[in-house]
Amino acid sequence: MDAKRLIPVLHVLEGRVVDPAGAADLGDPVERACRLELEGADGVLFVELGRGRRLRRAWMPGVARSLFLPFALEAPFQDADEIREALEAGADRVVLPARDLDALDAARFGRARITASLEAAWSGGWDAALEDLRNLGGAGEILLKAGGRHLAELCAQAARLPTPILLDCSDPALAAEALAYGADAIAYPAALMTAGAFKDALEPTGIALRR
Amino acid sequence: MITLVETGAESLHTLEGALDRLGFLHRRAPDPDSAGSTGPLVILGSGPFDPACAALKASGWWYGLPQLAAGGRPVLGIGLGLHLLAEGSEESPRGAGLGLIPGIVRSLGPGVKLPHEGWTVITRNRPHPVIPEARGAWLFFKHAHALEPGSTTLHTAQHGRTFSVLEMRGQTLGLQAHPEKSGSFGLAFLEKILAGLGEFPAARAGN
Repeated sequence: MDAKRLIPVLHVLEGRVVDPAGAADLGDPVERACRLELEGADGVLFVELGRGRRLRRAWMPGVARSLFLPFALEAPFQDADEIREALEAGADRVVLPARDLDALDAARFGRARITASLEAAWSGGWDAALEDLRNLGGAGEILLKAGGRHLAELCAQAARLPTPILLDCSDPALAAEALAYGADAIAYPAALMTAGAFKDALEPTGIALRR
Repeated sequence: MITLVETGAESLHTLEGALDRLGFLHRRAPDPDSAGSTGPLVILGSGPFDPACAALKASGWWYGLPQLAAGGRPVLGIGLGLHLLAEGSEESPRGAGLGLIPGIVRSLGPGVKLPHEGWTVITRNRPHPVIPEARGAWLFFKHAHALEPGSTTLHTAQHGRTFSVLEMRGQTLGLQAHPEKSGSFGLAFLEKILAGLGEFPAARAGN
């Protein structure tokens, strides 16, 4: 039995965890990530604000050596060398905009290391978004950024694709619906609630969760 | 001391951190000459099969690992490491594995999402005096191919079909899951697996 996954998101700026606006210092990435592991997270997604290539070499290996969960890094990668550095520093996956996969030569790293992020918008239907999703065979995971009351329909159709879907979602009720309709995992702001509390909220739905 | 076989195909930071947390001594070895004389050899991998094979051939590990295993060194393959220890992989029909574990690694598909990436419950297939049953335990997996269970399988899991999680053939073990990514249970399971290969944390070994 496979569990649905809850992936808290930590924003990082200049080697420190910050709020999504980059205004408040929320602490050390290693300490924050390890706390998420204790709280029941199934993985961690780091979203880097700004260009942090140099400082990444300082904080990422520390996270890799202390966090015993899979983790991914979403950052404004400029080239394949920068991606390689992030993977060598310990990231299990890097998140790249779907439109940039070819330009960043993502194929050389293999599907197991690449997550493609895609923003999907309702336009009287999800046809355009689904066509975009079908063309992301080079990514081993898709970070889907979409919302609204038709989201469950998108997740149900996307679930038929052979690639796992990680849904960016900060609404627990919407997340429950998306998981029930086929999303494989939820990426949500770590400050929203602990993974344990999120799983408590999801438990009545009968969704398979790692407890 | 544990020797970590460097393939260039995987960051070793988390595995080293896990071994440090558990108190095991370890070293990286870019080639067989750096392997020391005792202790298990651990090969960790993820990603495509062919480039990993090429890296092992370039470093001399492709020939050195079977020789060391034949001489009695315990071997643990994790993730892609298990695939490399098997006879071969469907991912590379013309290539061969090291042949230290029986069986050909085959795709988990069609009909399921690939890669199988996430947390899955494992089930014990055969008892072992040291490695626990781990009933209801969750481990983290990331793979698209796996071995069919057989007579050397200790634990299994399911993703579309039942596949081998832990293989044991003499002093060679292959673990499909990533214990270093499986939280506190993963670390405890790794410790027991290494104990099954006769390796213990430094403080305990010195007692």
